[in-house]
Amino acid sequence: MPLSNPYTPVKGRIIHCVQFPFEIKLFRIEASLEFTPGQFVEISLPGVGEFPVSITSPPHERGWFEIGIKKVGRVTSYAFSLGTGDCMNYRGPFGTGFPLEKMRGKRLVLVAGGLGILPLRSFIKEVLHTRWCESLTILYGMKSPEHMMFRDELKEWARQAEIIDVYEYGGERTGLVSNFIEYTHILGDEIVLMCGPPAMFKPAVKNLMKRGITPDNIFISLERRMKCGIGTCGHCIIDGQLYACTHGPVFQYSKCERAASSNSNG
Amino acid sequence: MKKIAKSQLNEFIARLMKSYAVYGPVEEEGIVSFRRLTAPEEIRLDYQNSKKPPKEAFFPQTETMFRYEMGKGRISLESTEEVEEERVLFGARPCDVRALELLDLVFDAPDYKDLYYINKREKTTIVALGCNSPLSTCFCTSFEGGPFTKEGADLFLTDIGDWYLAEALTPKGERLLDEELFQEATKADVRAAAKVEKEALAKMAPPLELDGLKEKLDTMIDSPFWDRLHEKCLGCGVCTFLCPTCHCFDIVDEALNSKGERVRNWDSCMFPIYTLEASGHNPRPSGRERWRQRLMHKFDYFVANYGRFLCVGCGRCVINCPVNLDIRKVIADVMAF
Repeated sequence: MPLSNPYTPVKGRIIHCVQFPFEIKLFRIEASLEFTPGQFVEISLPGVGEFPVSITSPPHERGWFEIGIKKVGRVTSYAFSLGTGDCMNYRGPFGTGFPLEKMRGKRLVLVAGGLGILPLRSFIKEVLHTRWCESLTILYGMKSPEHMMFRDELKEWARQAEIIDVYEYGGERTGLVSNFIEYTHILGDEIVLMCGPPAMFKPAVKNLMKRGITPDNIFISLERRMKCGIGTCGHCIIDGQLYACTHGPVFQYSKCERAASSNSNG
Repeated sequence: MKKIAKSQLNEFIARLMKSYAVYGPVEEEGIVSFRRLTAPEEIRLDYQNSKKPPKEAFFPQTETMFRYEMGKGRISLESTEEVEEERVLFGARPCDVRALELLDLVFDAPDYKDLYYINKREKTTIVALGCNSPLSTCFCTSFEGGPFTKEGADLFLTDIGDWYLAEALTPKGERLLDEELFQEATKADVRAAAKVEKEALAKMAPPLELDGLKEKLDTMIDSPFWDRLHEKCLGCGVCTFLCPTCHCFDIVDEALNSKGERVRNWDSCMFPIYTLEASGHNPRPSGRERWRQRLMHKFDYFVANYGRFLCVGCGRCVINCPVNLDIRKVIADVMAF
């Protein structure tokens, strides 16, 4: 049997999309894909290019998967213009997802900053579906109340999880999400999953560690310019010998401390 | 051990060209690089170090990954990873041949197979040629190599004056030994080859001190050492483009109307946009981090991942750097820091 080529895109079709404010769009793509929350795909648009993006739907939903895109560069701008019925090819899934086995039966704390909610949503929906954690606290920081995504889903999640929504401007809780860690019921033995802008990690980890959480129990989903997705092209190397696309994108904080806590992480 | 007369070389290549696509060193506009030969006379074996390394025969500077054509609501793909013809890479230098073994580790990894590279490797027979006169910039002996290292070659040639001594190292190499053109080498020929080899080795500078380099670099990630190193670097990327072991690439689409292709191109960690993300965040914002990355990848991270240094000492980055940033000196400075 000939070896399969990891660069060949697989056909996908958009079956549903939702537009959020600030040029963010959620796409549901018809495809059969086995994955773990935290993994990503390369969206592959012939004639335009490719970009890596986290899967935001849970694995128990079969027959399709969802991604969320913010219109930023050339390729995402094109992707943003697509709608239901259009083709959206992909390759993947790639990378290592959240360590589900480690989290079974534990108290969990999730820290999301802005679009960082997208990979965590895959995990949240999976956990709430299978109900295998003891408790779930979600800290969700965004610029303003208008930036909130998944408003209806959040209401639903709030029945089973504690949700702390924080806004840089306006809203009930104003400030940075990292500063609200002290207002949570953290005991110190929780497992923390985090995804957000690079500037969020350092203060968030500092405040978590103040509450007794060890760096081994903090998992961060890092984003880098993953081009090939298979640990070859070199663009996403972080912190020494790690490739964000294969060793990550989810890293134990103790393994990616430099990459997560400084701007110039090599 | 066999030998072939130099006067028969063109005939040998002409015969190879009947059943193989032959890639060899060619001089064009004063630059020696490897490409497919169209005539045996084009080959130029007396070069000392080709400008571009022969990694191009397996990992071209620009390579089509697939072609596509968009119709109404559908896209048809035509894959391009298959290699039809058997190939011969003729006249590669020992350091460049050893570099391919390092590239194998990356492209032929346990989890993912890069078929573009692997298919070409499998279809290629490598004829290496020893270096009678190494350059002052050569430092292959620092990396367990040498001007006559045979590792990775299928057939190894040594220039002994009017003849090439030919040693087949694999069955693939054996198949090239045309009975009409090759004859049994004499003891005197073998002695002549040994002499050439000894003389070449004598021309090499003493190997670099590399013991403990990785361990030293392990402790230097936040060192002030990197603060000034990059100051004279122009960020031109020539050190990485011409490196036989560098393997970074970018993937882009080139399209016109409804037809196009996905292409991969060599890329360089010395460029600012190499790590720039769409958000504007650049994890390696200055030459400081980029130089550190290049050096660390070659002498620390690659050792951690594969147990080998990602360098064969070909000296291209030393010869071609426009501001004379000499990696041998940088290594010595790291060791002394």
